[in-house]
Order: sequence, then C-alpha cells, then structure tokens
Amino acid sequence: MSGGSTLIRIDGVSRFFGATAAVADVSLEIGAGEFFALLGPSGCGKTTLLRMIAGLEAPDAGSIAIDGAEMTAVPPWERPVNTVFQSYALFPHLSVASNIAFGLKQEGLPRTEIEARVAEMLTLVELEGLGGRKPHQLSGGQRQRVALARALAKRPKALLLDEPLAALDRRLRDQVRSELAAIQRRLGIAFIFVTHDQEEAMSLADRLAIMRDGVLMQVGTPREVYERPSSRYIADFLGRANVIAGRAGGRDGAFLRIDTDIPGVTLRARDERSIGDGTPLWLAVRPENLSLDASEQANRLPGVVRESAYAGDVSRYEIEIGGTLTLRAVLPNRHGESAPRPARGAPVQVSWPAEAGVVLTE
Amino acid sequence: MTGRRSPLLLTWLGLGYAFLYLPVLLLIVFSFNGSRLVTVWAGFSTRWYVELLNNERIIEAAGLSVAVAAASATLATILGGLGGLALGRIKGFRIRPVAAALLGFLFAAPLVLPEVITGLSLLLLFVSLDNIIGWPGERGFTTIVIAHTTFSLAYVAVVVQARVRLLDPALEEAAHDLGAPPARAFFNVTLPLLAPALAAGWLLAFTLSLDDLVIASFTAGPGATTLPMVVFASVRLGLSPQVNALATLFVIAAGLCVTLAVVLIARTNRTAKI
Repeated sequence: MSGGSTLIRIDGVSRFFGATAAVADVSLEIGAGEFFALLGPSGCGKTTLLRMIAGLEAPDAGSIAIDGAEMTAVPPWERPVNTVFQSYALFPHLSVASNIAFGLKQEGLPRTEIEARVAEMLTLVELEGLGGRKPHQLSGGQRQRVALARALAKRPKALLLDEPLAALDRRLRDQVRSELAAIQRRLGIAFIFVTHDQEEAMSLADRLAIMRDGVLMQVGTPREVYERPSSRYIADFLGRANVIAGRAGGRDGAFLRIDTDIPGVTLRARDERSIGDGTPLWLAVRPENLSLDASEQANRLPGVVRESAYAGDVSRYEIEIGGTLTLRAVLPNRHGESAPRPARGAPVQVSWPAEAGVVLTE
Repeated sequence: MTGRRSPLLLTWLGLGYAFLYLPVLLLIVFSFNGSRLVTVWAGFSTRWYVELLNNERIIEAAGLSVAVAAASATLATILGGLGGLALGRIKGFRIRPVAAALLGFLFAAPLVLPEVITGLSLLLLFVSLDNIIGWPGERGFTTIVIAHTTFSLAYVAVVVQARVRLLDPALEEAAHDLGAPPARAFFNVTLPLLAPALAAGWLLAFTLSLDDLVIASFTAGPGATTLPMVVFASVRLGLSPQVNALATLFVIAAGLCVTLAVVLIARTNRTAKI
C-alpha cells in the first residue's frame, strides 16, 4: 500500500443476492489519503462493495473496519464516510445550500458553524452565489458538484463515489476528472470510487482493484496492473493486450521459451518463476509494444496486415499470423516519420523485445 | 394521424364533450331561473340561492357533509398514504411478484367495487359489531366517516404509490448516509417530497366523500343526513330549483378540488424527474 496507514480494512466480505454472490470473499486494505478505484464491468459487485463500506448494504460474511473501528454492524448514519451517489440524489425540495447543510444539521452543529461550512464548500466546488438555487435549476455538472460538496461538508474520513463521471458528457467528464483529482489532493482524505471505465480508473487512482463476478482479481497501482497483469482477463480488460496461447519450453537464462501452436514459432519472455516444461500458459503483449519491422530479436513473427486505421495520434493495425492468430499493434504517428507504413495486405515482420511480454498461467 | 384538423373530427369532439357536460350546464343555467317550474325559463334570478342559504335542513346537512368529508379525507390520507408508500416500494421487500400484484389489487379493489356492495357490507359490519361489542351504537357521523375512509383510502394509495415509484430510492439512502436515522430521513426528505401527492389525495378523498350518496345512505342513522341524502330525498318529492342551486354549488366545489388535485399531481411528477 502506498502512503500511510490503513484506513479501511475489508476482511473476507461476501454478499449474496439469492444464490449468486455479488461479492465473494473480498479482502482489501485502503490507505488514509489514497485515491482508490474499484474497477470492473457492470454487475461485477463493485457498487455492492462500495455500498457495504457506506453501510447501505450489509455483508453476509466478513467484516469491515474503518480507521480501526469495527463497522460491520454500524448503520450508515453513524459511519465516518460519505457518498456521492451515481444519480447524485440531491434533495429536490431543498436549495443547494440546504442540501449541503443537511448532514451538518443532523450533527446538531450551531447555525453559524453550519453557514460557515456551507460557504466553504460552495467555494471548494466553485459554486459561490448559487446556494439559493434549487437542484432542478442547475446543469448536470453543477449538480455533481453539489453532491460532492454535500458529502464533503461532513468532513468524512473517506469519500465514496459511485460512477462519479458516468452521467456527464465527454467534454465535461475530462474537466470534472481533473477537478476531482485537485480536490482530493487539497483535502488529503481517501477517495474511493467505482467505475467501469478503465481509462478513468488508471488516470485518477493511486491504486485500483479490478473485480469480476464478485471476485477481486488484482490490486495494485495502475502501472503494476497494466504492465504486470496477473491473468488473461486483466490483460484483456485493461488496454486489450494480445494474448498468445503456448506451452513452457525451457529457459534461456532469465528468459522463458514459449512454444506456440504456430509451426516453428518460439517466443521468449522475461520470467523468473520456475515453470515446468509443457505447462500451458499465455503470453500477453501490449499493442504499443509491437514493432512492424524486424528490429527486435527476441520475438519475431511473419504476418500480413489485415486492417489498418489512421487515428490521428496513432495508427492501429491488425496483423494475421499463420491463419490462426491476429495481433493488434498501435504505432505512434510522429510528424516527419520517414519509414513508410505498411498497407492492407502487405507482408510484415512483427517483433517485440522479451521484456515486453508477460507470462500468464491463468 | 397527421396534424390535419378535419372539421368532421372536431364535430365529433364537440358532440362528445356536449354529451358529457350539457346536462351539468343546463342544471347551472336553470339554477338562475326565476320560475318555480324547473323546466320553464322565466328570467335571471338568484332567489333560489338566497332561499337555499335560509334552508336550515340543508345548511345542517352541508355542515355534516363537510365535517364527514374532512375527517374521512384526513384518515384516508394517513392510511392510504402509508399503504401507497408500502405498495410503491413493494419490490424492495423481496416478496414474490404474484404476492405483490395481489396486495396491490386488493388495495385498489374498492375503486371498482359497486358502492351498493361496499355500503351493504359496512352496514352488516356495524350491526354485527354493535351486537358483539356494543359499538358503534347508533349510526351517524362516526360510521359514515369510517365507511368513507375505507373506500377513499384506495384513491389516496393510488396517487401516493405513483409518486413513490417516481422517487429516486437513493434519496433516503443519501439522508441516511448524511447522518439521518430512518425516522428523521422520512420526515425531512420523503414526507416533504410526498406532500403534494398527499394533498392531492386528500382533495380527492374529500370530494368523493362530499359526493357520496349510496354508502352514506347505508351507514347513516336517522339523526345524521348528509347533503347528497337531502338532495336525493327532496328530488323524490318533486324537483325544486333550490336543488339546482345546491347542485351548482356542489359542481363548483368538486370541480375546484379536482382541478387543484390534478395541478398538484402534475407539478409533483414534474419535479420528481430530476
């Protein structure tokens, strides 16, 4: 864990809906001040896990502790965390200021203190002067900021955000994303957010947890999970890696040899583990690590360009190898690049260094 | 259908509404008739309204009707509101869909049950209750209020249920999350958001009670006569222009209540969508 002490400790938590496990035996630690993402496709249990941290959902097994205090049986209104709901759930009958003051009134703070905090929150989210508006008089982006201000007004130890950017249009999303990051850095409290958008998770989070069918697949920094995925699922889910099936075929020093189903093709990847010869495994290689020339020695495959698409900053290629395997390659388009790019149907040599591949056993 | 307004269609439209409202319009016109004969026009006059206000029997009956309507509407709003809240959230209770549908149907059944049957069954209930526990004794205000509550709470429940379905379930969760225990979340968030629907339900229940003749006739005693009962009794003795005047006032009162209710429902459904 990066940065400081453990704030939230989730220990063997499960939650069933009928016979299916929405969350299955998840254990996780989140640090104080961490920007943490729960990432996964819809229905993977990430929102249920977030709701259990908030206390809106009770685990069927396991325990949750916040800041050292056991929270499993504590109702949401007594937990030191607050939530920004996906629908924002602003109270439509209350003004912006009253929405933000709602949680403070529950604490029974004196009126001057409440007014000061509301003003402070309106400044934080840059909505000064809009305290008297009703939620239906605000734009989507403004509503999102009110929801943020309302949850932060209680000075929670952690802020929980359920798909905070999902309801915003693309242009607004980029702006709100950088604002969220700035607010988190300024306040220094833990932000835990749920998202299905891997780019959002990678760019915002200090660490992220990837879930699938209620199971925690991998936890780590964006760089760790992207460069060292622990399974084929994660290699494919994050950045759509090329996954090539093969069998362990002995070692070349620090490199593992991988025999593939393509006749005569043996690949090499750096891997320190001792893997018995003949063990079935998979090699994951990111599209941006492929070269469309024979410049790398370790792995070299002859193929034919099937698709090529110019996308401005990069060009994307699909290369067919030996009729059974298609590899995706992404090449940057730099101004003045002199080497000619292969056209559709052209034969090419695909190559990548041994360090670029990740050996997966599951 | 294209945007064309054919004269034929407009005629049909006019005829349809005429069929609905011409009788009421005639009644209102004849309430300002100077003649004692209900069907012969003898110039404009407000004499029947003056006579109406001096008719003690009618004023007394009107007082009872308004009291019954206010009491039964209030009871129906509380009970029907709670019922509507439960029915609107029935999916959250994790019961079988068949059971949920059955509960909803049973709650709404009084909407379609013939009034004669409702009235008769309540009369039987009151008579047997009186035999067994000595209550409610003589039928009157209390029994009419109970009877009106039983059928009008179904209307309140339907209105409230529709509103509850439109409410974001996350609103109450947000209140919990911000430190409000269930009771406070209900009174600070849910109840204010349901208030327009509850007011609309109250107005509907009030109107239904004010208009009711059949059920009141079954459940009223000799000492208690509601306004519709007086009207009906006097019409049997022969048409009187006074009754026209009374009916006109009724139409206006009921019309106002229903219009207000519709406006409230429309407004609450609009604000619920954010």
